[in-house]
Amino acid sequence: MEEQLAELAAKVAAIESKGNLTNTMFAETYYYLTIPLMIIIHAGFLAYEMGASRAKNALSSGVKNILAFAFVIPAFYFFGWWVYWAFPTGFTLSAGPNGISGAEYANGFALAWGDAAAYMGPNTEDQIDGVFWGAFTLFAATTASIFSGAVIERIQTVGFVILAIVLGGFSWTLAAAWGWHSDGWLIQQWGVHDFGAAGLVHAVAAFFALGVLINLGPRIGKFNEDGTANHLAGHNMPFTATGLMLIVVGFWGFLMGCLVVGGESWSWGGNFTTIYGTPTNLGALSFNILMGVAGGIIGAWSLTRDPFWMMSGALAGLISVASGVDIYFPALTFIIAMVAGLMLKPAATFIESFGIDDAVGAVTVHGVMGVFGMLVLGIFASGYPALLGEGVPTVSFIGQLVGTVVFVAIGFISGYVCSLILKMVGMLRVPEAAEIAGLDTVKVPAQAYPEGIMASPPASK
Amino acid sequence: MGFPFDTPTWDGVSGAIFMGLGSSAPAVFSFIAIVMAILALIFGQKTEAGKYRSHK
Repeated sequence: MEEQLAELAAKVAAIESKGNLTNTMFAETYYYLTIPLMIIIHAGFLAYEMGASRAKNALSSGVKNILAFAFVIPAFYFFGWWVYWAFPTGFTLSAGPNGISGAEYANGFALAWGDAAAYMGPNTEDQIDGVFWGAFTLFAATTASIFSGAVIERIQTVGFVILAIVLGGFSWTLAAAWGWHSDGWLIQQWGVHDFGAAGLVHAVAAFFALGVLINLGPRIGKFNEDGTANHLAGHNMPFTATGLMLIVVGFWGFLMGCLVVGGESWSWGGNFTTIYGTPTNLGALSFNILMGVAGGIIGAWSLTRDPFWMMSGALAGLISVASGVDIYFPALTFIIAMVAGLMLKPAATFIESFGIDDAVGAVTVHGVMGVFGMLVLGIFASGYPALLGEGVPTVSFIGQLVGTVVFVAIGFISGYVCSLILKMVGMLRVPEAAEIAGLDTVKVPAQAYPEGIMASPPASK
Repeated sequence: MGFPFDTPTWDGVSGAIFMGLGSSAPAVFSFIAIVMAILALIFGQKTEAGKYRSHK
């Protein structure tokens, strides 16, 4: 009898061990797959920006976007990852209530030298750090891509790359540490809920862009002497619209990466949760992402009939509900997203009325809709527990407002100050002659359309 | 640089397995990588500024 019991116990232990291994491998594979999906966001932004540029700047816009992607990756490897784990409690670098934050904690695994280096490279016993870092790196690169479109056709390449490193390696990471980490002070003190990063990715990147745009100034010919704006049409609308659809595809990976998978070292149990430990699953995302995209497109189409704004509406819809795709009811998602789609063009016109030349509407789509998404969640999700467990803070409109103000301030102040410094040292804007000649001619050793482009019929009135 | 374990086999090896494990190599590689990235930016800025000067 005892022998049989021992044999049974051994079998149960073996099954448990296999189950744990399967969970770990599933979590590793899951995060790994979010990475190529999020790279589709960059393929989309690349096409979007090149199409939205005039033909004379098409390739230089592409070069800038590719470099943002390339430089943000090592920036996040060498210091961004450490910032995320070190700063959740604020600038004190102390540990938070869950004990997974602070400088001492980050020093243990998020540095590429010393003992921590064991977790920043191939390690057969660590199946989560690499893929988690990879997913976060793509979040970082996404912020740089959001910013990239706003400044096309007149920003210097290296000056832009420096700004992208600041945004991707520090600004958004600080926002994520504060509002997207279970020890983050915005969650612990204010109950901030931003599941899909409407505020801490989209608004941070967009307001960073706004800070830069103020110092950068508009493209030559964008505004008339009386302050009225001219439309500087991009050279390839089909390319732009396709790029926008690719961005929407990539955001499935982005939002997938916002889930915490059960069975890995930072998970909250055996099932899917949010990064706050609160329950949700892929089904919630599926319902709400699709309804958000649909609502945004229909809202924008209702007002503009323009494919550029329709696809921007898809993004706007997605961003407006991103904070709560884990808990919204799909019909409510559709309503919020459709309102976002309707707001889009008027918001862009309003921003333009201040002399801001946001070439692709990034401040509107990501900034205005990011803020809208954060605040509207505060209305509908008020009272929801912000974290797992007893006695935790709850979501409230005031909390969401505080979070929004903090995210906007992080983005705007860092973008404004860094671009002002670059402007003072002559590294921000290209010279007037180069802008007029076209940046491809000036600095790109390749030709976008050696055989020209066929003109399409005039636009409908 | 060599296999960072005392044994010439993978048998019994687990944990970190990258080249330079247990030495100052990761710090040295990190330093060189950061310097190379910064040099790429400096060189890039120099050539970019030259292109603008030639189009005045």
